[in-house]
Parts: sequence; structure tokens; C-alpha cells
Amino acid sequence: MKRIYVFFCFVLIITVTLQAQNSISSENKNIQMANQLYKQGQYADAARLYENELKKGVAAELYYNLGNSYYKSNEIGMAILNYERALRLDPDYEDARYNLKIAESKIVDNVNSTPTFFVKRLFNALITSNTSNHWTVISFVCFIVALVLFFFFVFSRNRRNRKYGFFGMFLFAGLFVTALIFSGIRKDQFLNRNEAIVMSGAVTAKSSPDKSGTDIFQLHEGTKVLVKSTLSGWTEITLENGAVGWVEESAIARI
Amino acid sequence: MKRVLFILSVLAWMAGWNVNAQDEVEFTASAPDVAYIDTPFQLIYSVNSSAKDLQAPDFQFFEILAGPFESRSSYTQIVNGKRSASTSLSYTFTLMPSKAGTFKIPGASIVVDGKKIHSNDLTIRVENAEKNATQQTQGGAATGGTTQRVTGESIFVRTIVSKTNIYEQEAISVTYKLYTLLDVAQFTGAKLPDFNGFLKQDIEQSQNKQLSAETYKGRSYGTVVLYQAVLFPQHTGEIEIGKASFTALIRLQNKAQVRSIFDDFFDSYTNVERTLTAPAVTVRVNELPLGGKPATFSGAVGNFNLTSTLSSGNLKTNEAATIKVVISGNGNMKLLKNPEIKFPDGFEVYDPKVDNSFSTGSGGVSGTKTIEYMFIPRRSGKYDIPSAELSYFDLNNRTYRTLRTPPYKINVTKGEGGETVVENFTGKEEVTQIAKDIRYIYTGKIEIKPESRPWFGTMPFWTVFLIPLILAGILFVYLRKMAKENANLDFVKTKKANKVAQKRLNLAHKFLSEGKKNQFYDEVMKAVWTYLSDKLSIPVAELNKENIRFKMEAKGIETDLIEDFTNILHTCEYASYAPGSGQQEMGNFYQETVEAISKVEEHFKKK
Repeated sequence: MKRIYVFFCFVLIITVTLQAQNSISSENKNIQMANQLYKQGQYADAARLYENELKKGVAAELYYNLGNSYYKSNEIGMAILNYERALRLDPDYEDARYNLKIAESKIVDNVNSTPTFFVKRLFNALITSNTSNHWTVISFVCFIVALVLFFFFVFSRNRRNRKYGFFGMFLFAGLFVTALIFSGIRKDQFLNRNEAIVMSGAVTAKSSPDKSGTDIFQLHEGTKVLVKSTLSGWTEITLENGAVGWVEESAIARI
Repeated sequence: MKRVLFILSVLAWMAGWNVNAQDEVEFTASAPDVAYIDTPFQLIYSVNSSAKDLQAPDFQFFEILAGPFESRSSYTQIVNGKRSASTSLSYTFTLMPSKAGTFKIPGASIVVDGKKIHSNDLTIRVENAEKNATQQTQGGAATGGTTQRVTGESIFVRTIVSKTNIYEQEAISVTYKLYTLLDVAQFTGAKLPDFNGFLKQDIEQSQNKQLSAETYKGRSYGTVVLYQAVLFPQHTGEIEIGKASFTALIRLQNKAQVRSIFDDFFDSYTNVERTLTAPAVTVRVNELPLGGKPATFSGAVGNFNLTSTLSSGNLKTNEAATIKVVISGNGNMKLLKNPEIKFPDGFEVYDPKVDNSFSTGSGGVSGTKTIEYMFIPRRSGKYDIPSAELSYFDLNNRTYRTLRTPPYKINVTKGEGGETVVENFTGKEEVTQIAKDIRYIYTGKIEIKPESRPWFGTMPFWTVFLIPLILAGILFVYLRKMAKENANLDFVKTKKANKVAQKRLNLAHKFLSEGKKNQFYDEVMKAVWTYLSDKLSIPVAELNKENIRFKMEAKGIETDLIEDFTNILHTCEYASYAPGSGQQEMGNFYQETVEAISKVEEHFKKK
């Protein structure tokens, strides 16, 4: 009986995964041409081809390659934006994370983030380490395990099995709920796109959404900001150190 | 004899006079208090004794138009047989002021009888010339001889720069050359500008300076190079080479009023100190063109050649070899950087040995720079040494040029002693990061798909969770029911056990009253067996005394009671064969059995 059940779970998981991979996959000549251009050092041309491909759809690797092309043509802001976009699709993309770090070392601003409580930081890192879908899968597995353990607890004649079943059930039920919450949070982050990168060489943040506002601080290309709200062509942004100001929408690009 | 005495007495008188004269030696300088620009005046140094070696001071802002003229006068007087005599000597300079203001002319010095005495200082106010100003002339005894004029035209220093419009690092030469019509005794001091913005390389001048003739502005001058250097401008823009000043001692011939034959032999001279200023020069330094600047360019400007030789292309491990690079040419050789040769890993490379042989000429620094790179391959294999580059700015073509050493191929074979000799003590090395760069693009297949929303919250998402939950619910209900049913069956049996036993016992009681002994024991035995089977949930197949005893012990029934049951069963089994047991006995046995069963019942109830 149990075996049948486990098998059933697997079938479900596989169906979910297959659904995810159900996508257009074809040998893409444009990408190969762009790779060739990159190899020859014509980074600007390569970037243009990659950008064209991105009109058809998205892929973490494509953003990564585009980021590399921009980095090599010395457009650090665009490079960072595209690395961040690659990581938005695939937070586990190690190469993109590495290159992002190198690109970030070239930007002017050093926005010292106020050291948030380290548990909170750990928590954030944990949540962002997986996409929403990953968390869904994890929560699903935990859910199934919790159910199996529930049956152990209720129907086992062996006392020890019942004991383990009881505690295990609660543990996995907790994990299931946590993963589910994370999945929801990640979905929110993914769809809201409230992170942005400064695109213009230098931009002055104002106290109000118009040009006559008082200058509050200056940002340079490549700095990451959080978008709070928008108002008629102006965006209210927050820095990691807590500073808030308004910049023109065209000066930044959302990740 | 008389004559001799006379001469002696004359000599004695002379000596006496001399002594007298010496007591009242006066050396004075006199000149008008006020002079006018471009109007000559006379400065007279007079001494009331015979003297020599006049050292005139530097007249600075006064040009010496003429002089010094020497005039000598002796005067002898005999009054009433008493003889008095005086000698006076005067030097006259004709000076012309070139600048308004008040100037101080320091005293001159002169030697009288081996003793140096100084004259007074003079203060002269120079005013702007007025047209109708009466020219002040002082009648003097000085005349005659050709005028020797110490003016800006008769002696000056020129600053000669080879080029004034140059590129950065391009060599130029700067020369300070003296042009003179006069006799220069010596140079007592030179104050050179500090050549800010230039790298300076002095050109050695021969110690023995000879005047050479040169025609400048229509006059033939004697010229001599005072100082010469090669300059390399270090930054762009207009750079000024400041004024240089040289102090010259000019030897002027004294012009005596009366030229005697002795004058030709014993020419008397006066040394005049004069500061000669060489003008400042501005050099325009252009930036090197930005276009086509090679990456390896490090500021070399000039014309260079590069040759390189490798000692041997076939080596054994741990055998030293050298690459010799010779750079020859002309330019800022001192700034030449050693071309960097990238040796492969596994080569032990030593600091290159550099041998410079440069010579500085007015065209710049030229010569050769020999760089020897010594290396020892530590591992066998085939290696490529890529070409090293030297870039420079070619001044002739005004373009950048890059010289390259040829790439070398080196074949290293295992030498005696193998390769591990060096490794023994070094141990493992950490992989060191040389530089940081981004990782290469992803070249594998890229699947482009439209951006999909996360599954969270969608219908399939909930379905996927709901299906197992529903299945589990169904399974739970089913299993629960099964378990319940199983549990009920046992429960009912246990519950009914007493009743069943009671029924059988009633039957046995009936047999007892009828006196049917065999049937009685049979019935009692059946009653006990079925009772225990139901009560202890033992299947009929496993029903035996051992199992019963075991189960009863497990249920916690006292040993006495267990013993009772064993006895009852025993009695039943043997009663059939035992000879006639009485009515009384059977009645007791019946009572015992009922009690035992009721005791078990009680036990279970207590539980």
C-alpha cells in the first residue's frame, strides 16, 4: 500500500517537472553568431544580437551572455542589470553571481548597507537561494513526507514507529508550511520587480518628484536601488542604507 | 766716489719721501651725485701714491663706455731749499647708466706697496634724461687710446635651443654660448636655471676652452660654449627655461696717457666683474598623438632598433639559458623600459641584467642598452616564449612603432638528476590568482522561453497539493474502518465468552443431575476450552495448554488461577478413564470450574 503511495508521489513530481521543461528548444543560430562575435571581441555587436533574442523570450544564460558583452564594452550598468536579471531567473547561477561581483567592484557608489540583524540576513539569503517554483517543489515533498509519517503515527502497531511518526509528522508539516510561505514570498518578489539598477552615469535623487526638488544624494551607474513607488515619470527609491529619494524613471532600469 | 755718494743720498731721500707718502695714502672714488640715463659720466678713482692692480667693482647697471684710463702726475716743489713732492694716480671710467634709480657702486681696491686698500663707496642717483639737461662733464686728464666699451654688444651670452616646438620626451639641446669682443679672464660663477619640467643630461665640455670665431649680426665675435645639456621635456605645454646668469671677469687694458716703451712690456690691466644674463626661452611641448598608441608604449621617443638572440633552443632541465635583447638607437634611452618577456610557468627567471652604454650629445642620448634575461627551465616539455614588445614614438615619421623580438620555441629535455631536484624543498604551491576577469559566456544550448509565472497560487498548484490530501483522506478512512472491524471481532468474542461458557456449563449441569458422567466432563472441557479461546483471542488451531498458560501469564493472571485451569483441563481429560467418581465429586468439580471462570472474568473486569 505504502509503496503505491510513494510511487504516486513520484509520478506527480515528475509531471510537474516535465511541465516546467515543456518549452521551445531549437538550435539557435543567432545566439551562435553572437557567441562568435563575442569571441572575436566585437562585444557591442554581440550584445545587440543577444538583445534581439531576448525579444522572443528569456533565459538565464542569455542574460548572462548579454551581461558579459556589456561588461566587455565597458557598460557596467547594463552588465549589472543583465547579471541581476539572469539571477532573477536562476538564483543558483554561480557564474552570473561571480561576474556580478566583479562588475560591482567597478561601480563608483559604495552604498554601505546598514548591517541588518544577521538572522534576518540569513533568512533573506535562504529565501532568495531558490525560486518560487523550487520552494513549491520542496514544500510538496515535505507535504508528502508529513502525510506518510501521519499514517505511520496513526496506524503503526509498533510504539516506536508511532513515536517517530508523531514528531516527524510535525517537523515535516512545519517545513511544508515554511517552504510554502517562501514560495509565496518569492513569487511576490519575482512579479513585483521592485529592484532596479541606476543606468545613467550620474543621477541626483531629489526630495520630491520634480526637478525643483532639493538634491538629496547622488548615485552613479550600476548601483542597486529598491523601488518604492512611481509617480508621473518619477520613481521613489530606497537605498540599502535607508536613504529615500526621487529619481526620474528613465535613469533607472528594473531588474 | 763723490758720484756714488750722491746716488746713495738721492736713494735715501727717495726712501724718505716714500715713507712720508705712505703715511698719507688716500684712495678715493669720485663721481657726480646725479646722472642721467643714456648720458655718459666719469667715475674717477684717484690715489696719491703710485699703485697697481686696480680691481674695479661690478658696475651693474652702468655700461662701461670707455676706460679705465690711467693718468699719472708728479709734482715737485722746492721752496727755500725745502723740497716737497707729490705723486698722484687716477683711473677714469666713462660710464653710462641704463636704468633710473639710486645705485650704490661698491669701492674698488688697489695695491699700494704690497698692501691692498679700498676706496669709498659711491651712491649715484640716476634720473631720466632731460633733453635740455646740461651734460655733466668733468674735465680730466684722461684721453687717448682706442676706446674699449663694455656694452651689451661687446659681450653677451646667448641661449641656443635646438628646437622650440617639440614632442613630449623629444630630446633638445640647450647651449649657453658666450659672444665677446673683449678679453675674458675667467668665469667666477654660473647660475643655471633649474630646468623644471625637463629631464636634464649634461654634455661634458672640454676643460680647455678655446675661443672660436663666429660672425653674429655682422660682427665677428670670439665664442665659447659655457654650458650645454640635453633636455627631455616631461610634460606637455609651454615650458620656460629660465634665465641663466654668468659672472665674468673682464680684463681691460689700462690706457696710459703717456705711452712709454715700457707700457708695451708691462701692460697694466684692470679686471672688471660683470654679470652676463642669458635670456629665458620658452619651449612648446606637444602631446604625443593619442591615435594608434600601442598598449606597450611607455614613453620611449626617438629611433630605436631591437635585436635579440637566444643562447640555445634545445635545453636540458636545470640548465641555464639566456635571451639577450639589444636596443640601440637615439632618444630618451634612460627611460626605456625593459621589454617584458613572458616566460612559461616552470621556468625559473632571474632579474634581467642590464648593461647601458650611452653617450650624450647635442642630438640626444644615443647608445645601446643590452638586457640579458637568464632563465632555468625546471620541467621538461616544449615551450613557446612569446615575442616581447617595445613601442616607441618615431620622431622622423611622427608615428608609433612597435619592435618585437621573434617568438622562440624551446625544447626542454630531461637532464641528469631529473626534474624533482628543485621540488624537494618547495612542496606544493597554492594556485595564485594573477588577475580577475569575468567568466566566459555560456556557449551551450540556450532554451528561450517566454517568462512564466511561478506556479504558486495557480490552479495546478493547488490541485497537486489537493490530490494527495484527498487520497490520504480516503486511505485514512479505509484503514481506520478496517482496523475498527478487526478490533470489534475480538471484542465481541471476549464479551460473549462468558455467555458461551455459561451455556455449556448449564448443559453440563444438566448431565450432572442426570448422572451422565462422560458427557458432563466432556461438556465442561469444551466450555473451558472455548472460553479460554475466546477470552484470550487464541485461534482454535493454536489452542493448547502451553499457549494458554503463556497467554494468561501475559495478561497478568495469578499463577494459582492458571494452575486451577490446568488442573481442570487435566481432570476433564482423565475423568473419562477414571473409575466412578461420585455425584458429590462431580458437583465440586463443577463448582470449581465456575469459580475459576468467574475469577478470570473479574480479573478482566478489573482491568
